[in-house]
Amino acid sequence: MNYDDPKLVDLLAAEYVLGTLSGRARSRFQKLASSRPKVRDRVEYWDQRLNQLAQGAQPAPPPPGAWEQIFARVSPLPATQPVRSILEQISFWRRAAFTGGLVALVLAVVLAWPVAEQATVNGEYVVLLRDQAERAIWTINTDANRAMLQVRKTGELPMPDGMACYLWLDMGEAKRPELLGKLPDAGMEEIEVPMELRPMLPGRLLVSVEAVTGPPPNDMPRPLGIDSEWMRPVRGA
Amino acid sequence: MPTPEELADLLARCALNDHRAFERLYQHCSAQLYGLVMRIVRDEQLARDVLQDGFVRIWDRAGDFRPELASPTTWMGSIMRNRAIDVLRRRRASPIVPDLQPEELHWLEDPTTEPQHESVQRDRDQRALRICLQALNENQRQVIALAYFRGMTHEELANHVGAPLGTVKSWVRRGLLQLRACLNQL
Repeated sequence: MNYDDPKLVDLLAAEYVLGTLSGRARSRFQKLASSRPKVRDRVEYWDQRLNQLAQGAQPAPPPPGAWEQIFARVSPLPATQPVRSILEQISFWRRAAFTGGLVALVLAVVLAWPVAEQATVNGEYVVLLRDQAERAIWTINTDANRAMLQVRKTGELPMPDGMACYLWLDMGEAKRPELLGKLPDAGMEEIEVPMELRPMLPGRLLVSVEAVTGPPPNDMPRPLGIDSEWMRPVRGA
Repeated sequence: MPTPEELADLLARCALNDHRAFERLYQHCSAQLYGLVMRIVRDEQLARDVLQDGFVRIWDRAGDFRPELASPTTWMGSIMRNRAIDVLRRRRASPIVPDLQPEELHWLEDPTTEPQHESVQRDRDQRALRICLQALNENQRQVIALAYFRGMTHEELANHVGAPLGTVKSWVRRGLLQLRACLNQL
């Protein structure tokens, strides 16, 4: 087949979305789409067009109990517990994590020591805290000693009333992260990094949603899907 | 029904692990999506399983949603349809596949049916698709609708409508080519 023929590719894309392209032909086309942006464009075109057909379906109430079963599959909470709020979910995790908290804290300090040794190069950084759509929700500037973090809100993140986001330093798997401070809901705020944590930067930063009054001591935060990216700022001549 | 922007916002929050946003998304969209799934699988137990798998996939892939490429309902509908067709194909032990019921294409055939008001552009897209599907001949429209709503392959279509395989392939391909030409004109 001549996959450079736009008409053929368009027809294959239409049949792919419709579902009539099957077996090895479907696999070949999937490989083609994964390597050629123009093929993917055609798939997206037909995906948008043909899936308008779905909009004509008459709504029907889902069977009772469907939500509870769905929720049980995406949440580590017990399946019988209905979802209430972020706050309640976080409280669950705090209870679950409490028993191991102190042990984890000691282990965190001990096991993070090699990390600290690797991160002792002085210098300023810019840190982007990105959500899963790659949007920078906060941007952080550090000073040369990573003693002070200037945190600026640069993106939107809807927040329930009475809740706020808190910044943590990841101490490794199964260890309680170290709380750095509250993230600004708007504008810019400074967070002072405790002396003992400065050598551990750059490190992986975590963001959790907590009550505005702050997370209770020793409880394990539940991080949101936000990644931290450390970059060297570009200097002018 | 929330606006597409509100649904997109809920999806973005799902990507951030916000279960409350996921619950609201379910409350707003589950009836529409369950209606779609029921239309495809036509079996309550199967539809329930598909709805659950589909919502779990929506949760897992919420970070992949791109509002510039599709509306939230189209994106979620696509996930549900794909899942429904996967399940149908795996369970197609019985060669008897229910025919399309007249009410299933009512939306396409009734020009007074209003599309869902998602945005001006998407309303226009829905109308264009409806007009262009109506312009196909009956055989073309039937095999495209059967493939879409029943997940039938060429061979299954040929068995179902009792026509030679080559003829059915031709109906599908010509129908799609005609559809594209029509959509490009509108």
